[in-house]
Parts: sequence; structure tokens; C-alpha cells
Amino acid sequence: MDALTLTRHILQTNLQLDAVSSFQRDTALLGAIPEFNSLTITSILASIEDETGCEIYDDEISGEIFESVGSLADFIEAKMS
Amino acid sequence: MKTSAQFIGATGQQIFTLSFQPESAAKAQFVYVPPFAEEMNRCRSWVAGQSRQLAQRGYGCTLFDFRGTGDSDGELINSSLASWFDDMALAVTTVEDAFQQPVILWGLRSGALLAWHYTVRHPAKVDQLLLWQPVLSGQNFVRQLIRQRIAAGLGRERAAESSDQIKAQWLAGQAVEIAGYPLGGELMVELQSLEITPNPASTQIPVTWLEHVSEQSRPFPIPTAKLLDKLKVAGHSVNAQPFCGPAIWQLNERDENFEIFKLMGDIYS
Repeated sequence: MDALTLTRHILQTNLQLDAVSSFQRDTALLGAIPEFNSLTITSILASIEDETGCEIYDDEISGEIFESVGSLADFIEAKMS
Repeated sequence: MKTSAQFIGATGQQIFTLSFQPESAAKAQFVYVPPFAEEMNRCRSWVAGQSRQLAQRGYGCTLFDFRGTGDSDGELINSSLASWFDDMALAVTTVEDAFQQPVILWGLRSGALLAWHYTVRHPAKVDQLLLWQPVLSGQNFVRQLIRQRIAAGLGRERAAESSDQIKAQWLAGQAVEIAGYPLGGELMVELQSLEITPNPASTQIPVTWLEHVSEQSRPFPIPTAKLLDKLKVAGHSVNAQPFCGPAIWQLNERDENFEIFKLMGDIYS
């Protein structure tokens, strides 16, 4: 599974919104989607760890990762390798 | 089906219980151990729905709130692992005395972690364990709570806080507010010590483990799969089954998950 597909899959699991299937790289997340709050971010980080078997450290967590679908996919891609 | 609500326990330390019972004698009694904080509230109606289904199929179900949560007495900030274990013991013993039927301890998320440890401590009190999407490790669970606080600061004009700073506050006995819940240091430090691991004290108690997967064909998450192998090797009898559908404990939007009801109906016929 490529990083963008996995990103959509993780967003779908954690947001459960119909719109996720049409999310593109430039779709804005944090600050743009009302459901995207601290609890959602926490769940997404846990999903990334479960799906890729990686560990995410606190100092890696920043607002930039969650700016858009593309920035999140880039982060996930880096954690997959 | 009969539904009844009552407070049990000593004055000032009572826990709220909600009981769903079939019209005739039940086959067994489920005692539900709830998850923590926001997860507890998100799962309330889901679990009540499941309890009604179980009662229609001839099983009794008793739900309770830990002290310091829900409708029970006490403040969350004063909760400790010891008070939570006492609450579980009170709920189990009350159900045991009232019905004299096998007890199935049913834990969801962190409630599953607590139910596992209650069973290890009191194997004679529990006939079967039912774990829904268990939290495997208290350490990871507390890490998720800390992350919520860090995540809440993202994109805001606020000094970034590290997990070490938050942990230091807990170790110093201070409470830290996370997503609206004042969490005391003692409870958090104690929670970190809990983990689901094989234990010879409870190997004779059958475990039903329901794990969420996004699609039926997908494997269990790696940490869960590894732990299930370890439990089986150690002699635990675990029936692990996947379920799909919305992850109710994670969703801020109200949703339903009927897939688990169907699976439960097949297991507890």
C-alpha cells in the first residue's frame, strides 16, 4: 500500500467521514476539518504506529504534519521506510 | 427484559450500576468494565445496545461507573488503581450474590486491561473473560493521554510541552488536565505499570478477544498478534475474532457498530 492510500485509510478509520475518499494531497486538515481535534490526532498517531509497526516520538509531533493530507502522507512515508 | 438502576456500596463511596436481565433465569452474567474518560462516554450507548441484545438472548448484563466517573460517587482526581479494583470487586461480588450464575467479565479498551488484572488477582471470581479491543499496555495508554495534551497544543500560540515535563508533574503529585479530565499523578503512574501478559494464575479462564480491523481480510495489528501468540504458548485459551465497522471508542461523531453485535450473537448463542 502506498503512503497516500494508507493515509486515506487511516483518516477514514479515525474520522469516519464520507468525504475522505475524495481527499487529495492538498486537502487541508488541522484547522480546516472540525472533527480534527487533539483526540483525533492521538488516534491517528496510534493508527500509524499499528499499521507500520513504527514508533513515533514526542519531538516528531508537530502541527506541520497535520496541515494537509500531503504533509501527513509524507510523514507516514518516512515512517514506513 | 428488565432494566434496573441502583447504587451499591458504602454511603459516600457508592457506584452506579445498570442491570439488564432476561425475563427468565439467565445463562450467565456479564459484568462490564468501562474504558476511560472520553472513550467511556463514546461507548455508552453502544454497550447499552449490546447489553439489551444479550438480555434478549438470555444473558444478564451489569454496567457500572468507576468512582470518580459517570454517576458514581467521588472525584476523578482522587481515583486510584486500588479504588478501581475495589469497584470491580464490588460489582462482581454483588452480581455473584444476586444471581449465583457464572460471571463473564467484559472489559472494553482500558477496561479490558483492568479486567485482565482483576482476573489474575481473583481467578475464582471470574468464569470467563470477554475483551473488546483491549489496551495491551498501560504505558502506551498513558502515552496516548500525554499525546492528547501535546496534540491540543499543536498550531496554537502556546509553549510546547514535552511528555517528560508532564510525567514530572505527575511524579511530583500534581494533576494535569487532559481533554477536560483532571488526571492525578498517582493513578497515572500506577496505570503505567499494567500490561496484559501471560499469567499462570488465570490460564484456566477462557478468554474471548474481539479485535477491530478495518477490513475483515486485514491481519491483527502486529503488537496484538505477537501478544496473542505469547498467551497461547503460555497456556491461555484465547478465542480471538476480528470485527469491522466504525471504531466507536475513537469517534467524536456519534455512530453505530452492529458488526460486533452480530459476532457476539454467534459467540453467545
